Amino acid sequence: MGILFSLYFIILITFVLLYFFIIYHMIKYSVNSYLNKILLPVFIVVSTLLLFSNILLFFSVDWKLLLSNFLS
Amino acid sequence: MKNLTNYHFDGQKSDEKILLVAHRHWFDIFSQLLLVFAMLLLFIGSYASFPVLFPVIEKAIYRNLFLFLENLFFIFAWMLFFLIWIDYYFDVWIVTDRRIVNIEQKGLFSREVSELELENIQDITTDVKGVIPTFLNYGDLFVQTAAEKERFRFHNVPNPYTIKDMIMNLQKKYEDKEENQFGEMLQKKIRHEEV
Repeated sequence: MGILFSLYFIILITFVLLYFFIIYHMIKYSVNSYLNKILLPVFIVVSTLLLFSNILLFFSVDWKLLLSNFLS
Repeated sequence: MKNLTNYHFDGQKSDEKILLVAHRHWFDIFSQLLLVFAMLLLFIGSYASFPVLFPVIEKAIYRNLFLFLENLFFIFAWMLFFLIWIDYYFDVWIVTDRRIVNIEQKGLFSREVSELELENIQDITTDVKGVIPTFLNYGDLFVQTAAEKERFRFHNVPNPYTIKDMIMNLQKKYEDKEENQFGEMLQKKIRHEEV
């Protein structure tokens, strides 16, 4: 179980870091301010919803039962 | 003609006017985006077909696992799309009334900015190679400078011939302006010596 949670934590951290790096690039380096005004909110809202729903879905899975079913 | 009032770049001078912003041609990232489209098709296809093919997914315990994996897969495709888009969109060539700025984005952690004053331009050549680039009118544009040995390269830009003409006209205007300034300076000096 511990390995599973650690693995998921690594995946989640990777996505969160990517999320912030992409936002940073869009704010700092974009040459088109108009496009930024549209894309940045879309990216933030969709990515946040996806990440939160993923965390909720991860904890809604009964991993103990699932693993015992797979192993038996 | 593109509206350039929304464009701005780091290091732009207050009186410097952007005349052209060029990105690589869309076909250049098409092959990379195909992977994202394939992933999206797989996502939709699996979402629709897996519960029919594997009825066991209907059980609550497996349904949650299935939804979690689908969600994880979609996040991966979503992030991949933006990474490809950043690599494409932030790779940009900006032509102003004074210089050409090349901003080269390589992934998230490598960014190279170089610039070239219009007065340093010696020669411009275009290179459109292949059936698709000829058909879609995109290719490379090389700007040879007087000061440096290396060529300034616009990689796979759309309408390279139009961009070439534009830069050459700009350079001509710049040269004429410099000649006029030099002429005026000479005239002033001659008048001054006569007095």
